[in-house]
Amino acid sequence: MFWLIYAIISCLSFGVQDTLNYHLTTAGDYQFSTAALNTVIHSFIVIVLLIGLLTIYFFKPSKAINVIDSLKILATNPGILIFAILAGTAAMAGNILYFYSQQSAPNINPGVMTAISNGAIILSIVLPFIFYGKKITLKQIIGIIILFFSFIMLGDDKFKGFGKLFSKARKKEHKDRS
Amino acid sequence: MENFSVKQEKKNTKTDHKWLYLAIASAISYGLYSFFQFVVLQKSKGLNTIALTINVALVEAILGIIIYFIFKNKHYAKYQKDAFTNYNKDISSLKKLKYLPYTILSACLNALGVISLLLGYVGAPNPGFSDAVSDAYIIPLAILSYFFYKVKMNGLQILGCILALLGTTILST
Repeated sequence: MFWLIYAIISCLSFGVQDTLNYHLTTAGDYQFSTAALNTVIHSFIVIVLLIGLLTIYFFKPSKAINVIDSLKILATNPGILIFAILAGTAAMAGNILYFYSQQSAPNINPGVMTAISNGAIILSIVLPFIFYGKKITLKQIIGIIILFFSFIMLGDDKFKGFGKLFSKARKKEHKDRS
Repeated sequence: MENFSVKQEKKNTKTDHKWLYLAIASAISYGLYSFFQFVVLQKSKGLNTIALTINVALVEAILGIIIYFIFKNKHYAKYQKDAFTNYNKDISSLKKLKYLPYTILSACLNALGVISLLLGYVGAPNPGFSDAVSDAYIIPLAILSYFFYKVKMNGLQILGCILALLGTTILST
């Protein structure tokens, strides 16, 4: 069951980290540029990870060498490096857009944007299917449909078509309030 | 007059939609990020995932620093808008002692989150289980934002988040 403890630690770490970022970009005294925050935090992440790697090297050199060897493979193979750079660039764009989405709607709970951005999993299933022929199971199709419904709910009545189903209920709610 | 108010309303609705389009664009970017990582792992099987994490953080930091130097040039400084508003000034401010506890803690938590997720993969019956629990960070984020910043969720949004968690759990397990 140790895996569960690690997964919960990971969940709490990301939750608190996102709250800190939300404070700096949206809810604090000053709203920092989301791109600037991403650059500063990732510079520190590199430093933290490299310090971690050095510490592992000190105690368990074999494990650190495995990481160092992989870094060498990444750096010396242009065919792999280009995709690693593309991965980093896409992650950067994702982070900036995600923080900026929170900054654009300070009255909306950031959990809503997080839920929508977690929809990335759909692309990570569909793209390997298109380019590598990885099969999509029925269970995955059901998961994708559920995710789409969740987006409609999270986007509230702003989605045309499906959103109209909910906008009627919203209009009634507004009428009742007034 | 009526025309003006209709136009104004349309403009306001467009602004209201902005966060949603940005969130969807971020999902697309994260999806591409996952896919490119998948391609790297396909091309070099057995590659260490911590090395890949270091590489991604390194690319983001280097790109950010390159952008910093581009904006230092007078000709390009005017492009500091939207997500890049006051980019260079904010990078300098974020390194000040007042904000360092936030930024360093955020970086440490990110590293802890990634490493514990990878450690979780080792013992989990299926790596997707570990992913599903980790993805539930919407819950602490939503609760903390509510307690500290009083940003609520309506019933539809709470239901949407629960459905999103259910969807990601089905997809990752």
